[in-house]
Order: sequence, then structure tokens, then C-alpha cells
Amino acid sequence: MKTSIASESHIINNKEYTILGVTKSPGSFGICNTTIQRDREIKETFFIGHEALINIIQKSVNDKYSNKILHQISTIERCGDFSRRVALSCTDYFENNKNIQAALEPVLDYLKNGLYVIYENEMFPTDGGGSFFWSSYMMSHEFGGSSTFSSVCKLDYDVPPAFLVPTEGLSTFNDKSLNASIEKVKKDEEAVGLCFHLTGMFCALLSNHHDVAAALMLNKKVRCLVIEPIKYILSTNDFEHKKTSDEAENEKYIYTCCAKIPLSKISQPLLETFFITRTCETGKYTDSVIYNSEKSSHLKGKKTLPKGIIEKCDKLPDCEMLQSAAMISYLSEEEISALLQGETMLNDSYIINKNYYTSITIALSYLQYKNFSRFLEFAVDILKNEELSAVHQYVATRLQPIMNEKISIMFKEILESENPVYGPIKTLAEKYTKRYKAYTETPPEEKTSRAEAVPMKRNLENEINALEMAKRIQSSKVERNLN
Amino acid sequence: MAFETVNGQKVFSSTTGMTYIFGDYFVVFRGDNFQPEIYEWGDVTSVNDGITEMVITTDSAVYTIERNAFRSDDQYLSVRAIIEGQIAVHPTIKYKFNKRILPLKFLYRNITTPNAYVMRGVYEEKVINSCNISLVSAKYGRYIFLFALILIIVIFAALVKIMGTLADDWYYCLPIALFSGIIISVAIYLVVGMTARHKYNQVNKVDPALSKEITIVVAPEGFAAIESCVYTGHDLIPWNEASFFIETHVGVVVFRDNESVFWLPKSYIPKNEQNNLISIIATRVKQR
Repeated sequence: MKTSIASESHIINNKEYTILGVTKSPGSFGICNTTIQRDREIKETFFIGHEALINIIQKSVNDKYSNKILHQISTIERCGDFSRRVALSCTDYFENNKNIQAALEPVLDYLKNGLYVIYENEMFPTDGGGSFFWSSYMMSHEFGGSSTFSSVCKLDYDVPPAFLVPTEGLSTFNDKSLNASIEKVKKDEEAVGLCFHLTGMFCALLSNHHDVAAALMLNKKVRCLVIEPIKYILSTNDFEHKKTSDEAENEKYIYTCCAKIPLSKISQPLLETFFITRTCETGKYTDSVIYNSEKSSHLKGKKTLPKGIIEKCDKLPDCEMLQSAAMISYLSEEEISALLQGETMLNDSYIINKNYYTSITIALSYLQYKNFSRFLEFAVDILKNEELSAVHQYVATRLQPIMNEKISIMFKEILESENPVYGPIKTLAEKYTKRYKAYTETPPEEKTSRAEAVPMKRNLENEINALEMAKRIQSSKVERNLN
Repeated sequence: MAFETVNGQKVFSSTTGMTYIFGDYFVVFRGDNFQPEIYEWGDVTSVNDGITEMVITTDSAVYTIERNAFRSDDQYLSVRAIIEGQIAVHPTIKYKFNKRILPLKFLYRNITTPNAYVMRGVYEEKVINSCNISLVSAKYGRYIFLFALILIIVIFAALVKIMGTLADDWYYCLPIALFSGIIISVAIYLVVGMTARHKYNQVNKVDPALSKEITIVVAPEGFAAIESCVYTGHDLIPWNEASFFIETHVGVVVFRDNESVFWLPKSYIPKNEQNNLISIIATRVKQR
């Protein structure tokens, strides 16, 4: 029986979304539920045919705001001619300018039944934490930004997917293909690819891994066509923000990462496809995918990646920056000044959030992504302000990976200061100063081999600890004031 | 949630012109020009699954779906499995249903096991009846025997009193008393058999599952007896839901709160696996 596909396009916020209803499909490609013990974890697996490629594990069973574990366990090379089909679809869409349904037909015919939305999006070839995507998912661990709904933006703001998970094995990486891709990306001014949305801000890259690596080396954009399965329906009551004039009472929306599409815009046959397809629907491959998802990884060997790739990943935005940017469209100088004075409100409305520490975290992430020099000024100003000592530890931890003269000067001043307010962050200041000295004294070509001269990665665990400490300091202050 | 892998179902009622979708949501389409009415299952207050219609009540509306709106028995059974799977999650839904032989679906949990014995077959009338009779024999056999014995003694005593002295007439009275006792026992057996058949016919009238192929699963984690059309291999009743089991010459019957929930005819079990299978049950539920 041939797969039946119905589609319609909608323009929302000046972006085109193609909604696709897939029925009567053999169901040989997509995500299926492979949970064994539901009380311990929920496991989903991205699969192609019998092959389980990526496991997505949620440890907090009922929490849609908790991050998930992502683990690549197999490669697309083991999935017959699927990679050829994907390559064909990419060429047809990006080069031959065919419409989405016609271009993606070789792939869509195999999609699991259900409703999907397809859109273009800019992606970053990292894991959302500053590591190169191709080598990040071989070990099973939790990734920031992988929760079903953004823990920063909740359901009120759309956080588009941005980070890639590979489907090709790293063993296929080779200099010859990379050089060919470099030439191609130089000519096209961008890399393109086809992705399947996995969870939160993460998508499985189905094609053109070398092109994406080349784009990173050449500082070019990565433009991907994202296929996102639609799983949730929201109503206006699910939003925390006040209803806008566009949002009708009891209006229902289908939830996608990029946009919430009102049900009233979608035709009845597509809605029927959505409602009739169950989230945990099984197919003829489900049992073998469950079995294969439990087996040990097929990924073999290690590859040395070019120096440029690793260094450039550090400079790309991380998940916190992108989530903050999704939440704040603009932060005025007046608002920044108010935050520096310890205020969360300006003109009777919250600047970012009612919680001061959340506001500072989001403001720092936003500025680091949008305006790096303003970010440095803001961070240094916070450290200079003795009254904001509760967040000093968080800011000092956050600045550790950034090698910059302004920060170095600030930390030197902190070391020289006898003010007891700076006592808790003197160790951090000392560490930074030492590393910065090593960094500036080492010639650029030696920096990759000398650990102390290389900017360290953001340590989110330390930052969270610092934030927790800030909250404790503040609450003890409040208690003292009450007494 | 159990039965979350059962395919969603679209039911069109030609009488009302409404389309109902049963899946992760309960959705009603009144027509092209109307927005769909979407209910989470928690919003459903009651389901009345009658012989001729199914009535679903929500906070804001009552929907009556006549039985012939379901395009087949398989579709009806799928809808029933979806609803009962949801009732396990939302026990506030009031549920009225007809008599069944198969265990109710809200007893099931989502359990996937690789080590399961899976058997298939139809619950034939003679198997069910003989299981029912064996069940009555196993449950009340000793009381019937006792009753027959008391009856023999009473008849014997009555005959002796009527006919004369014990010493002269015992060789007349004893065979008559024994014969009467046997006749009464046979009569009781026939009544039990007729009751079993009546019971089967009553269920058969209202439950299409009885004419369908049944998949029976016995696993260390639990057991199942499900219509094959809704069996996806991911749902079992955990053993802790069972109270005890009885083994008769025709099969094994598992009980929950003195009501039978699971019938396993021995004819379904491959001969070389019978001991293993029954030992799985015996190690998890006490035998009576």
C-alpha cells in the first residue's frame, strides 16, 4: 500500500511552515517509544528500519521541562540506501528548487504515520555546550536545551531547534571529503542539510555532515530543512503571559518548536490525521528497534578532528544564549541599568522575570549572544557593585571560560581589594588570572597543546551551584532583615 | 498507560453526521464548518457502553454513538481498549459495561517483556463451559459431595422409618437411597452445565470479543488475554492484581477478588511447555 501524504502551507511570522499528514505508511523512519521500565525512565529512539540510531532518554518521567540524555548508537550507513534518498531529496530541494513535498518524496514515503511540520532553520554544528556535534553523542549524557519544552521560556516563547546530532559515524570523517565540502561551501556561501527533530533544541542531521563541518571552518551558515513531528496541543490557558488580542479565548494550537499554529488554520483531514495517530503508535519495526536500542553502540574508533573545528565551536552560541534570545527581543540601556541596581521591574512591569537571579542569568546569556562587548561591561559592572555580591560567584564562574583583558583587569582588582565582599570569589579570580597570563604568553600555534592556555568550556554545573548559592545568600539576608 | 499503542480510531455516525476520533484525545467533528471539540480524557466524566449504543459524557456535552456506527467489531474492540486504557489513568471516569469473559482493560499496565509465552486461539463454547463446570466443581465440589451424602442418609432414614425396621429392610432402602443421591447429584451437575451455557450465551450476545481470536500471554511480569486485533505486545496485567488460581483438567483460571479474570485452556498450551507455564503462574499466585 502506498503512503498517502497530504500537505498545506502556512505563513506564520513571515516564515513558511508546511504541514504534512502521513497515513498508510510502512512506518520505517521516525521516533518510536522504546521504554522498557516506565517507572525508571522514558526512552524514545530515532530509527530507520530496524536500525536504532539515537536514544533519547528522559529520567524525570513526568517532567517535560527536564533535560534528556542523547546517545548515538548506530549510523545511517547501516540503513541501506536511506542516505542516498536523503541526498537526493536535499539536491532536489536546495539545488533543483522543487517544492517540499515533491523534493522530499523519497524520504517522506517512509515516515511514520502522523502530522509533521517542515520548515527551514539555521542550525549550529555543536551540541549546545560548545562541543563539535559529530563527536559529542558517542557517550550517553544529558544535554542542556534538550527538554521537551524550554525550561527558560516555558510555553510562552518559541525556541527553534538549533543543535545537531549526527547520524553518520565519525569513522566516515576524512580529509578528502572535508576538502571537497570546503570547496562546495565556499562556492555556495552556506551549507545545507536535512534534519529530523528529536527533542527540544536538537535535530538529527540526516545528510551533508562534511558540508556542515566545512561551514563551521569557514564561518558560514548552516541552513537546514527540519522535519518536526507534531505531538502536542496547547490552549491559551497553558501560557503564562497575558492573552494578546490575537489569542482568542480557548483557542487551541498545535505546538511546534518554531511556532504555535492555531487549529483553526489547519484543514480537517490533517487534524484527523493528527488525532488518529497515537503518540506511542507501534509499527512493524518497533519490536526490533526496542531490541536494537538496548544493544551496545555500533560506533567505532576515534578520529582526530582539525584544530579549527574544535576552537570555532567555543565561539558559537550555547543553548542558554539561544533560549534567552528567544525570550528577550530587546534589552534597553534603561533596563540594564535597572538590573544593575538590583531591580526586576521597570515602569510597573517585569524587565525579564520576577526572580532577580533568573533575570541576571537570562540577561547575561542574551547579551553574550547579541552584543558581546555589552555583555562584558554588564558582567564587570555586576562584579563592581558590592550590593550585588549574591550573584558575584555566578558571574565569576560564568566568566571563567572567556579570555579577555577587561575580565582579567577586573579579577586583578578583586585580588588586590581587601573588601570582604570579594572573599568568596578570590579563588576564582586567582585561577582566571593565572590562566589568562598563560594564555597571553603562549604563541597561538602552541595554544592547542597547552591545557592552561586554552579557554576552558563553560561548566554549567558550577554555574548552577553558584546560582544556588546566590539564592541561599539572598534568602538568608531576607531572614536576617525579617529578624 | 496501557493500550497506548492501539491505533486511534475514527468513527462516523451517519445518523448524526458527526465524526468521533478515539486516540490520545477524544475529538468530535460536527462538520466542515465547525471547529473540532477536543477533550482530554480527564475531561470525560462517564462512559456507558451499552448493548446498542455507547454514551460518552463530558463536562459540556453528551455524545451518543450507536453501535452500528462502528465499521466492524475490531474497531469497536479497539475503541473499547482505548477507553479502558484511559480509565486506568483517569479513574474518575464512571464506566458502565456489559458482561465479559476477558479481563477488563483498565487492569492492564504498559509492560513490555521479551520473555513471554504467547498463545492464540478462540474461546470456544465447549472450552468455556467445561472450564465453568470445572470451576464450579473445584469451588463447590466438596459441598455437592457432602450434600449428596447427607441426602443419601436422609432418604435412607426416611425409607427405613416408612417401611419398617432397619434390620429387615436395609437391603431395599440402601440401594434406593444411593440411587436417589446419584440422581440428585447428576441433576445438580446438569443444572450447573445449563447455567454455564446460559452464562456463556448471555455474554456472547453482548461481547463481540467471544467470537474473535484471543491472544493469551503468560510472562514472569504478568498475564494477558486480549482480542488479537488490539494486541500489540506491550500490555500485561501484573501478577499482583491476581488473588489465586485454580487448575482444572481443562485449563487454568486466575481469580481476582473471587471473580475469574483469566482463562487459560490447556489445549492452547504446547504440551512440552505445560509444566513451565503453570510453574510461572504457581510461583507468582497461590493455588487453591
